[in-house]
Amino acid sequence: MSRLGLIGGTILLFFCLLAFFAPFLTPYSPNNFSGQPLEIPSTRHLLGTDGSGQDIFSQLIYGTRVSLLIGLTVSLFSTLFGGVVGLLSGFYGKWIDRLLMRFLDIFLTIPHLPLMLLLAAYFPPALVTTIFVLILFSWPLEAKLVRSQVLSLKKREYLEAARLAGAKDYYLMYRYLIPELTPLIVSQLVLRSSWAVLAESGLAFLGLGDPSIKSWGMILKQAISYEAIYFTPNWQWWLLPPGICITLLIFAFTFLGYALEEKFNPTLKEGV
Amino acid sequence: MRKVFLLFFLACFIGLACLGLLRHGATPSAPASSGAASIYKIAGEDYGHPSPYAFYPRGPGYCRMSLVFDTLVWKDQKGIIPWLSKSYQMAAGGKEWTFNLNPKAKWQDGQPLTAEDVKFTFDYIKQHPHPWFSRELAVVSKVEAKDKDKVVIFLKEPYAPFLTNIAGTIPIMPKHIWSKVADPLKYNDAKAAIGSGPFKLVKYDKANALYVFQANQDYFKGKVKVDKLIFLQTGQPLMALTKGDIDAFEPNVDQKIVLEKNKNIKVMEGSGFWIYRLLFNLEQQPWQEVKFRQAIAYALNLPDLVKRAMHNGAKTGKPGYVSPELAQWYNAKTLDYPYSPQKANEILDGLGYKDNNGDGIREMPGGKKLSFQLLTFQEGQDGEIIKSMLKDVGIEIQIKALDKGAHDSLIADKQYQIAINGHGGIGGDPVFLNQLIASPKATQQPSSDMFKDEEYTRLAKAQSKMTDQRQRKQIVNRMQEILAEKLPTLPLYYRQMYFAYKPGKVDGWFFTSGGIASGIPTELNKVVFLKL
Amino acid sequence: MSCIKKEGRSTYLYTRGGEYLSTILIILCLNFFLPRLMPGDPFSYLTGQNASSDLSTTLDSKSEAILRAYYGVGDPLWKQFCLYCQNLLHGNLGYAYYFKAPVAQLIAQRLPWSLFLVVTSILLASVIGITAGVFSAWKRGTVLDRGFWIIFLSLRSIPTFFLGTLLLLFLSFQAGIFPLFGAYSIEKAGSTWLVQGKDILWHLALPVLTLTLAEVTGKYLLTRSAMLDTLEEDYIIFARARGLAESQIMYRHALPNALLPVVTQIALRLGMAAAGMIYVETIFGYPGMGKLMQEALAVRDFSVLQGTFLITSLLVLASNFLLDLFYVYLDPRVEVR
Repeated sequence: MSRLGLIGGTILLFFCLLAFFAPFLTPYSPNNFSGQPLEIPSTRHLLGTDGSGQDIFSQLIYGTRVSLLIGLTVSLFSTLFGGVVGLLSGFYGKWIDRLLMRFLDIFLTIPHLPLMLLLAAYFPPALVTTIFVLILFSWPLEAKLVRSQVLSLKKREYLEAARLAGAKDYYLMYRYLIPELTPLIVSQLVLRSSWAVLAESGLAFLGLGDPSIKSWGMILKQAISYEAIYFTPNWQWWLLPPGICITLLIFAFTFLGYALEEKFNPTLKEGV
Repeated sequence: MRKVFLLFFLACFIGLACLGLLRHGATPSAPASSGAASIYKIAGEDYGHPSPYAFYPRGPGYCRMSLVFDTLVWKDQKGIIPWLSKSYQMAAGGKEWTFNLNPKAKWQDGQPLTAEDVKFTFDYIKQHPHPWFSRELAVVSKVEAKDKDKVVIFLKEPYAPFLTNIAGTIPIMPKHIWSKVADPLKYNDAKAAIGSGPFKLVKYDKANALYVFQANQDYFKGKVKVDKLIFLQTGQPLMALTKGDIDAFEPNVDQKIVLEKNKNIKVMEGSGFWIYRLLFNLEQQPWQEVKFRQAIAYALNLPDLVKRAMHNGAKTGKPGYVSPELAQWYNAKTLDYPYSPQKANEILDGLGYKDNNGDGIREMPGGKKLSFQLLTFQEGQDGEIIKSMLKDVGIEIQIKALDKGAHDSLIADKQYQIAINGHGGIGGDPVFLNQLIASPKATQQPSSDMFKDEEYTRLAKAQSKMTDQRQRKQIVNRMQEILAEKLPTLPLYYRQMYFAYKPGKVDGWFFTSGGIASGIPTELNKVVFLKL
Repeated sequence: MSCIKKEGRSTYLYTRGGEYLSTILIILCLNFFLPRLMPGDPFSYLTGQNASSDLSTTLDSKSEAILRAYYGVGDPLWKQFCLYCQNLLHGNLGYAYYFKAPVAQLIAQRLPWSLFLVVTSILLASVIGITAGVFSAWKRGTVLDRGFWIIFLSLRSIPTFFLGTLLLLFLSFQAGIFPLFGAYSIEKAGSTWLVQGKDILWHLALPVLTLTLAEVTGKYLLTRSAMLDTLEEDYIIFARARGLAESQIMYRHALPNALLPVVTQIALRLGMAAAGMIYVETIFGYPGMGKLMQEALAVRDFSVLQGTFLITSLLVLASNFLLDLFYVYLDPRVEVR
């Protein structure tokens, strides 16, 4: 298991390096119309050019930045916000908790993507819209996970003891609960990033992405929008690479996340 | 437990059924032809029921309807020809038009077509507003049926586009059917599609975009080449045409490039009479400065834009607005702005817009950066390409890409600095040039343009009344000159359209010069199906 | 004894029913208030009215009148809401001005295909996922378990739309084994039931394959986890002590007990399948609700987007409720919350 986690971590590191060193690795800026439309791969354009003459290889490398940015931003905000809500709800219990549970039930039942589409349709297509919608739809699950953990932690005796000794709520939370929750939060950060990258590429594919920011999902969408994509060899270097990149990054986040989860919480049975 | 097994078997069954059908894929689906009946299949979308009040107010919708309904005059490969009329005369300086109808013309239900039907049609449309025709008919004062086969149309004033936009567009409707219809917009009866044309509507299935037409063997103009004409929707028309499942369709430029390599398929190219242009907000600075607009024109490499954005499926825009494909009216002698970043830079320097702080973007004398928001569509890379071209001359652009609805809304409200817009209606009669004038509700299509020029406005008013072709051409030429000089809008390119078909069943396809009716670019001219 | 049980069941159902109703109410409110909360004229969002030089999107007076009447523009908010609910009860979901048809009619046309696709896929995915999950739990810790786990998780890493695109590319376009789009061939419209049926199944094959592959990992993980929980119960240890065969323990003792939470979870997450449905139908041109949503999104037809969201939610709720009914009458140990 840890071996898989290591593989995942390595891939992730690889992508991070790609993102960081993007300007050095790419001959062109991704918005540069450096070639003729639909060129086949050559030394000047390693993966050829897209329909308007932009270098696909450059788009792919810079796309790493977008994917990582989205993955990390969404997971950070949703995990933190959801975490706080889950913590408070689990800690105080009573009607707050009941309300949250009710909300979670409803949230889980309602189909997400149709509602996401509806929401995103009202706002102009921009990176901020995508990030906002993704955070909106992921924090409830984070809250649920944290809440479950808090509930099981609440039963520990040292909490009762501390409370009897006169500890205030926030002290209990800060001193005892949050440290216990950290492993969960960390592994969730990684797993949630995996979801965010997948969800963003899906939204971009459906046409909700920012057309001037070439995320991998957007590159895929533009490739498929090219009517002759299945009738010319272009799919090999325009369609496959972004799809493979998305898959690899999600793969990396997933296995790293599960490895972390197992490491911190060996009683969990999700992992092997 | 048993339930699980049951589910499992069900799943296996379905799975096997799917796998077992692998062999099915090998056999091509046979076309539904019986005996000697010839069927022609064209791929397309849903454009509404092909009757006068139900077709979607878009070009192809009209074309389908024109297969069933006839007009007084029509256009063939060479130009305007009499259709329902045998001959026609103009009198009173263009305020009176007499049409002598062809006595052989009759309705598909057997009734004869008379001048009464023509008069009825015009009166009916006046009484029951039509989303497309009513606007043109404003100039008609009255219509009289002088005889069984003679009808006179009186106009309030001479109207230059009369023959194409009215006589060649208004479908003549049967009085004996429509006189009983109080609300034409809701009339969905089968009788709504009874016309006089070469095809009878047999079936219209909106959900599948399916139209089935049967040849009208009694057609007064001549014999119809096919027995059945079918329009249907297909998700992969390219494959369908290659395999022979359909006989023709209108490919876009990428599909056309693939099809051209196929020796069994003939591909035609024609003008789409569809323009893509830059709009400037002439009510703001610096857009009010003519030289600034000219600098932008010089800064844009239009052939490169056409290559990247349209894969050469368009013709470069001309500053005079009229497309060279409208050969009758195009003025080649206007000012032009061939790509020259150097000239653009010179002009901008001359205007005092210099880059003072070295950030690559020029500033206006007051210090404000030359940075603007370009309103464009979500599809297409045009905005990006223009952005990169303008960056080379020190103008910064931010792209605002919206869906069509929101985009058009902002254009109508003039909420933009610079915008890309695209629309049709630049074929047919050059009366479309009048739309560029700033006026609140000048036409059915609210003018998003803000051009205020005395001479141009004067000429525009004159040209629509000018029936003398030679004089009119002079006026239209001058209008194009003004447009090229003042550049209230910068045409980027004119989209081409294509038609691909398998030769053999129906040949002689052509793109009607100037478009059919009021300028609808199409290859679907009923003439191609007739042995005249 | 049975009287108490029956009472417990009814109370449970009523409680659950109440919960469903409150969920429905919230969905209705969402649908109603969303366009009205957006900046600008809510009516323009509802109808996409705009002056366009392409006449096709201009709202004609007929459509405008219909839409104004439907939304009660100009009335006070509470009146609009009553009108909205009233319309819903009559099955009036509004008018799609772009598709030029009532929304309810559009949905009614497309829904059967989506149900066909989704139900088949969920069933297949459940069967395969559950079987694999049980097997994995049985062989916990071994190479087989590990291998399954890696394969299934890797499968889930592939975006659904990418998977579908690959299948379409290789199996339809390149190999020609499967059709290129659609749910059926128009040419076969007049043929016999058998021919039409085969044609429909042939068109269904790849979409179902894609959606099943997308959904199967979730079921697998759920089952495996539930099985592992169940396997720690006392009665399992006792069964082993009695010397029962492992396979017997797995399939006759553990699985039936693990199945309840698994199926509950599957039902709960039916809403997630809607996402896969949208991608799959879009790629394969399958004329279902998912494709309708994507088409409506492209033209920002909010009436359709709201209508499809509403119907999809209601369907998911309905299936959850049905499942609740099913289990209440099956399993007497069902808890009343």
